[in-house]
Formats: sequence, C-alpha cells, structure tokens
Amino acid sequence: MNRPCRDLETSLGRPAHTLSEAERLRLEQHLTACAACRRESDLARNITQLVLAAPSMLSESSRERAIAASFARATSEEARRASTHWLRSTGIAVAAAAMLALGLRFAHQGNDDAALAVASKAVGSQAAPSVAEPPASMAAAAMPTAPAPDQWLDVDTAETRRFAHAQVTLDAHARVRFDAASSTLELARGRASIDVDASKGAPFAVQTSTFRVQVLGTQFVVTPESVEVLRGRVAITHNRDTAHVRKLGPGETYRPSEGVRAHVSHVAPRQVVGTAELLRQAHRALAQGEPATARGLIERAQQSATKRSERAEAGTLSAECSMLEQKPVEAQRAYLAVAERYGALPAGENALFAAAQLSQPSDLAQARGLLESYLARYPRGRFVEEARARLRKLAR
Amino acid sequence: MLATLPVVSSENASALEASGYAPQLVDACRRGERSALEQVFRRESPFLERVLFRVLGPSSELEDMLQTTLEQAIHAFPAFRGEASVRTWLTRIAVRTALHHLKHPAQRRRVSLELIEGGMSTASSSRPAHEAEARVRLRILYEHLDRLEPKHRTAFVLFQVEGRAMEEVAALMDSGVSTTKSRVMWARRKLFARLAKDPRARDWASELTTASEGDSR
Repeated sequence: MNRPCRDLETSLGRPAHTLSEAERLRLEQHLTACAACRRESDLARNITQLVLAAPSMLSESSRERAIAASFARATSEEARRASTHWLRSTGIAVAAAAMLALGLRFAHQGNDDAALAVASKAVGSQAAPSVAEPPASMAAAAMPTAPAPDQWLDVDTAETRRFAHAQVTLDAHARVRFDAASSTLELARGRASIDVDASKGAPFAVQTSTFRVQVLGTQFVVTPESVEVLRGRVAITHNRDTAHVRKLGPGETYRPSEGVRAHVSHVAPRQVVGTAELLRQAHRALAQGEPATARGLIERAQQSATKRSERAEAGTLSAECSMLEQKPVEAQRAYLAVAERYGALPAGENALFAAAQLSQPSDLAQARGLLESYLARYPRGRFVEEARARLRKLAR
Repeated sequence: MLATLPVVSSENASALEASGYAPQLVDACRRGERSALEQVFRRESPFLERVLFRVLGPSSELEDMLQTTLEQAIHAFPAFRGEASVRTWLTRIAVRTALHHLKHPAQRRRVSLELIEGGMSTASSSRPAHEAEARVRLRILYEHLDRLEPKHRTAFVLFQVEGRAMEEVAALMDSGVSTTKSRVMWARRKLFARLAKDPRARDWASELTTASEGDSR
C-alpha cells in the first residue's frame, strides 16, 4: 500500500457524513484512480451494511428480563459486599480483642511492658465498628435470593432471583421456598422459569406437590401441573411413583394429570399458535447458530402444522439449517422441494429464487435454468429485477 | 462516487446527543431510585443491546451481557458526574463489559429459548432467502472478527461499523487516539486479508453494492 493509500486508509468505506469536505474530495479523487482502495472501500461498506442490517437479537420481554435481573444481581452483590465488610471488620475487632486479652494476661503475669505494648496495639488496630451486631446496611440489604429454609417467598410482581447456581424468573403471585442444603426449590403456586448453570456440576431440583424435577443442566418452565423443557434435560419423579423416573428433552412436556404413569409426550399437537411458536423458536435457534436445535423444533412444527404456509415455512427453515451447516447442495434441494410443493405461496417463490442463488459456480447452466424458471413462473415476482440482473451477470 | 456511499443510521451520528433526561431524573438515578433507573434503562437498553451485538456478534449471551452492563450502571450511577451524556456513559460501560467478555469467555452457556414476541423475521418476510444468506455471512464475518485481538476488534467495530469518530472510540475504550487508530488499522488489514482468502466470503466480500459501480469497472 503506497503513501496516499495509507493516508486515506481510515476514510475508506466510512459514511460520507463522518468526513470533512476536504477529506471527501481527496478520497473521491483517489478512489477514481486506485482500484485497490475502491475494493477496500466496497468491502468496508459491505461489512458495515451487513452488521447494521442484522435484526435485533433480543425481544422487548428479554430486555425487560435483563433489567429486572440487573436489579436483583445488584442488590445481592451489595449484600455480599456488606457481608464481606462486616466480616472483615468483625475479624479485626475480634483480633484486637484477643490481643487486648493477651495484654491483660501479660499484665496479670507481671510483664507490664509487654502488656502495654500488646494492649496499645490492640486498641490502635480497632478501627472497625462494634461487633455487637451487623451494621444496619446489611440488615436492610438482606439476601433476596435465599430466604430462610422454612420461609416461603410470595412474589407480588414478576421478578428474577438467584437460588444457588440457578437463575429463576418467577411470575407474579408465585410462591416458592428454597432449601440451600439440598438445592431444592419448592414451588407451591405460580410459574417459574429456571436457568441452571450446568458448568457448576451441582444438582438442582424443583419440587411441587405432585412431582420432583431433577435438573441435569437445562432451562425449563414448571408449574404445579406441568413441566416443559426448553433446553437440556430433566428427570422427573412422580411423588406417588418414585421408582419410575422419566426423562424429558427439549420441547417435551410432562403433565401428571394424565395419570400416575403418564407417558412423556412430545410437544403435543397444539393449536396453530403452538406451531407458530415452535417456528419462532426455530428462527431464534438459527439466529444463534444452532442448526441442530432448530432441526428438532422444525420437526415438531412439521408434525403439528395444520396450515400449508406453516409447512412451507418449516421446509424453508430446514433449508436454512443446511446453509448454516455449510451444505449448499442439501440446502438447494430443500429449497427446491418447498418451491415444488408450495409454488402458489410466497414461501414457494422465495424458495425457488433461493435455490437459484445456491447454484454451484461450476454449474452455470443450472443457475440459468433456475433463474429462467423463476422468471417464467413469477413474471411479476418480488425478485424479478434481481433475477434479471443475475442472468445478465451470468451471460458475461 | 461518494454520493452513492450509504449513510449509516443516524443513531451514531447523534450518539453524543444531549442527555435528554431531566436533571431530577438523573439525580434520582444517582440516589439509586429504582423507578428512575428503570426509566433510563428501558429507553437505553435497545441501543446498548445493539452496541453489544455489534461488538460481540450473534451470541447466546447477549441478554446476560446486557444484564451485566445494567448492573454495573446501577453500582456506578452514584458517581456519574454528567460530563458526558447518559447514553455515552452507558455505552462506555457496555464496551467495557463486551471487552471483558471477549477476554474472559464465560465457561457456561445459557441459551434462552423462551418464546419471543417479536424481533425475529417470520414467514411473512418477503426475503427469507436473503435473510438466511445474511445470517450466514454475518456468522462468517464474526468468525474472522473472533480471531482478532479483543481491543483491535472492538475499536474496528466502533469506528468502522458504528461510524464513530476516532476520538470518541478512544474515549469509550479508555485509550489514546493514536493507539486506537493503530488498533483500527491493524484490525482492518488482518480482517480484510482473511476475508479475501476465505472461499466462503470471497464472493460477497468483493460484491459490489450497487449495479452501477459494477458496470463502470
């Protein structure tokens, strides 16, 4: 890179409004003559557009949850600091008292000089507050995350708390109590969404009046009547049938009301809303780069789907899974299947164009064929201009 | 040619906007009043989320990072002097949180698959194929960004992607301007060289964004 290029390097690809008039003119003149800088400028701009165009990862409810949890964590952190400060100052006072006692002992034994030295040192070091009782700040900032073992916690509004190594979001009016010794959260009423830190390798359980859920590293939602696993696995023991342990995986739901030996059901074919929710979860899993998780959700959605549009969307997402797994041939095949079955739907049109875009560079004939098919089938389609532009490019 | 350069969203152009908060509200935040803090957090959290996302990339820990950022803000608000806007101050905390995360990746991975109400593309989108392609490209981009030094990567994202001035990036990262400039340049060269060699990225990395530019070269 020569000197003019270096001088302008940080301006390449920057939005126009961030440059002064002189910088803009200089840059424009340089880009007219320098192909290398033009390419770099384009690349920088592409990267910027790609990142800025990415949709938001968090929903409003996720952000609300983060806000609520930040207060819970901030409060427990303050309590921890207050506790540490109290313990430290208690320790200093205890040590000072011990030294004073030692000094008095020396005095009793007639060693006046040593007694005075120890006693004065003890007094001098006692800069801590009285150890008679913990400071008021600690009492006020009582651990919100771990009430006394036999103390029930009634939650008026939805909140997130930490119980040992689990973060628990309690719906409004939930009632729980936590036994730290056994890491068991007892749920008497309401709904809890639990996110357990599997890396701790420590057990965590939820007990209701009907069943016990043993966590194996997961996220799940539990009410007194049901358990639904969102991620990971849990083991469930019915209170009246402790010999029989059921294991649930992602997307599975257990309802003891179906019977003492109620089988573990996969997410039962719910109403249409259920399928839509599964498809949204699959979108999210894809956005987070988890095609395997997405595939599981897509499969369930396909089982429960009653609408053609839902089946078409499931097929499209399946193709996207293949793209994430860097299997363009499989992805193209999946897109073509959607295009063939659901050609009359928008998803079908999208799939045909997507399949055309995935043609291998070595197979120009296929790319041309698919683009021409698209134009023939959808003469007024959404991607007509792009399809024509691509055909022109292929013709060069 | 510069006329065809896209204008980045105005959010960063006004990133140094005036606080926009009444002094009484800011004082209430300093005193730790929850309702005041919640009001500020609700307004700023979408913006902070975007900053975290752009620095960290698509990550299952974004919600956790946002939570950590807000928790730090709660602790630090009593010392907020008002020399910068609230948004800039919070952004600084977010950048620090992101840097810490990049330097010390969390051992655990908590993925929330709870149902979300919005924020995701649905079948009604007219361009799912493009979105899928964009997702793949984004992943490839962040794979390469992950290989950069955390401070180089962060400086590059804040300067190049977010369009912030070099001085602003330096302030957000608690660094000098010349150090920040070196970091940006170093990140650019490394990243662009790697993208050019990556067969998955070669096509889109050199793709022209406007047809007119392609025809003229």
